[in-house]
Amino acid sequence: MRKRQIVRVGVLFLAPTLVFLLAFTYWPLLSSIWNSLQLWDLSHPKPRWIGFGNYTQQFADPTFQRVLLNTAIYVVIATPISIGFGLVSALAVNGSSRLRIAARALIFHPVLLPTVAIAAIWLFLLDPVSGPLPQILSHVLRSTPNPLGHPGSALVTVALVGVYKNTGLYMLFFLAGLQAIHPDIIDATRIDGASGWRRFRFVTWPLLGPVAFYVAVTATLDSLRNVDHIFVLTQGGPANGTNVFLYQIYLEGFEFWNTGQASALTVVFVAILLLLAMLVLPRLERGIHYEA
Amino acid sequence: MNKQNVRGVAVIACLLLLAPLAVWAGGSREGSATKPVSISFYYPVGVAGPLATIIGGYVTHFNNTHPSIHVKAVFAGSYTESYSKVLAAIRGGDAPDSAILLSQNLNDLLQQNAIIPLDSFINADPKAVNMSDFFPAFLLNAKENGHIWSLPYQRSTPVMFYNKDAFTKAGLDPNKPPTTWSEVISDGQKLTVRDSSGNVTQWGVEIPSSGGVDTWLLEALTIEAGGLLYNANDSCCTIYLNDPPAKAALTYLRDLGTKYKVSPPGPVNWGTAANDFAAGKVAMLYHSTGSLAYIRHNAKFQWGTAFLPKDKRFGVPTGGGDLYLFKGTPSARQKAAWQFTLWMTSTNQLARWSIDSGYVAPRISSWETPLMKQYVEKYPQALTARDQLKYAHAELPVRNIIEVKRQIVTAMQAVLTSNQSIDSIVAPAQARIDQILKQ
Repeated sequence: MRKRQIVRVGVLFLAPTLVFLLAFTYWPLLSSIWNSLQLWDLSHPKPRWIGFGNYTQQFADPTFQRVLLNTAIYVVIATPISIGFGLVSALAVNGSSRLRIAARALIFHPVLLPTVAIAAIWLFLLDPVSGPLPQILSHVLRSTPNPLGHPGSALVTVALVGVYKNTGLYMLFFLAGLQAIHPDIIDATRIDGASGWRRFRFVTWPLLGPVAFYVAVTATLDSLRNVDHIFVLTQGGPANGTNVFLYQIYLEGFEFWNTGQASALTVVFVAILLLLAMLVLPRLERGIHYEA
Repeated sequence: MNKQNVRGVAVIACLLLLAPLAVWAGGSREGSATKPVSISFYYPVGVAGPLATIIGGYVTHFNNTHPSIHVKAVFAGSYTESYSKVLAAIRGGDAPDSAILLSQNLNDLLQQNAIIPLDSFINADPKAVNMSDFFPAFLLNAKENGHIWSLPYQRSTPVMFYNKDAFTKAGLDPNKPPTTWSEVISDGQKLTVRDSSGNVTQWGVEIPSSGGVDTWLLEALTIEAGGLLYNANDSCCTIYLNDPPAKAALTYLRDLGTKYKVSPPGPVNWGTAANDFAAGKVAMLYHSTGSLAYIRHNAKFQWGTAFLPKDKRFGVPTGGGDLYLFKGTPSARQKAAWQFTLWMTSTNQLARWSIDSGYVAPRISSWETPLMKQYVEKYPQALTARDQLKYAHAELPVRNIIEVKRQIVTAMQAVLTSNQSIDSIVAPAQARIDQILKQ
């Protein structure tokens, strides 16, 4: 094939994806940037140029400051715990005994359930009056806890429900990584007399590098993006205690219909994601061995 | 593979991806032939129970008995989600023909210039609908600028559900539920049961303040404290959160949990509260009369309903959804949508719906139907909400309603989850609300 033809065929193959990317990613992003510079809400149904007014208003808003803090706390809680659980459970269930396969299914199953269903179940499990979990805990704590009833504990609780939902997926990635490690390498370390911990620290973990890197990026993004359970469990409450970035965008955009404000928030959110990617990706990749 | 084949595969792949679009385009063209007038109808479900299936059944029945009209029912989620979907459809130039939305969405819909007044339909055929047959309280939120903009459909007031067995066990008269705020506290203290280690096994009362129609019960408490959360003469644009009645309501709500300890501390979730009551974990519950059917099916004990207890006066806001018709569709479809609205709000249909759901039938004549009489004889609890209408006010009618409600709820939840003074919480919330309503 001549070069020009290769290019033409290539474009043809790319076309379906490009159409969808243009229609559902790039175009909305550009229009968000444009809309973020407009005064556009229920009181102003016709958009009007206001420059950076939406941005200055959001940054001055105590709700937005609270939302930023909540989001940071959520990510700091949910990401390491879900990665940690994923790794530990992958190490624990790596193997082919029936028990291990059953345990794998148990840990993985929340991934298959819709988040909304999981959240609805947890809402009833956590109900301080008729839910079983607070009832059981009340015997230990001598008072009945209400995990979703206080801004601080509610944020931790929704983060942990997020962990419950996602950790099985990360386990699966780690499991795939573990099974890709050639048994000969592990056997060699055994012959050399390496202890379990040293084997993990100096052989398994470095070889899991690419997987761990991928999981770390995915888990961080998941923590920033997953809000379905917050819709069901708390609607961002009590008193904005569990209101995170994406939920606030939803509120501004589709409940309050402050389209300009919501667009400004979206632009800030995307900018933060890009910044994270630029900061994190090169640093993380440096210590990783891709050749196993 | 040679180059022809490669190109062929790519073309086929593209066509396959586009195929659903072609089907969709073809499908929508087909409908406009001599077939029945097709109209869309968005509806939400706001209370517990399988109500979506029931509405689906009504629509099927209507379609079968009205061959010239085809109603496409679209279940649109909660009230808020339905409102969002309708607004999104309007912005996209594809307004629905009819929808059930909150009666308190009126000022926002007017500002969006989204709905049509119903006066001309009503006046064109006076025999079709007699407006004086609707309870006046249910029309309060439907009128603005001298027009009627909606017909009441699934309307309610909050009532107090109480567990008669628990009353008897606590040495209280099961036929004398509390009628004042202070009786709620004194009865509540008798009804709050603790086990040997001090854990509560049954609470006295729950007044939900999160996860649903959040400000509704605060509106009720504010009315009972002698005030109103909004200005009835300036229904679009004034909120009175930083005023004595609202603050009295917030103080009462906080004290029930922290001072008198008759209610679980912190916000109570609207969604789980009906379940708490049906499970016998709380003896008195403030909830929508719309949850009556759920409680009827799930409570395994004797229970009753009562007016919400008074402080300075009895009082509740009305609540629930009305039927609206939308601008921007051809008049044939508007007429068909009106036919459907008339059928949905007919005497018998509203009686049927009231029994199926627990909502208050908004027409006086519905209560005279044999079906309804039979039902009320069996479940006299259903009468409470209707009789309470004489104390009812319009529910919060301001524009930017969802954002305003969010601000009020956030303040209310801050009151329930912190030790800060109520003034220091309410004042900034009021300032923010004024800003939202002024813009």
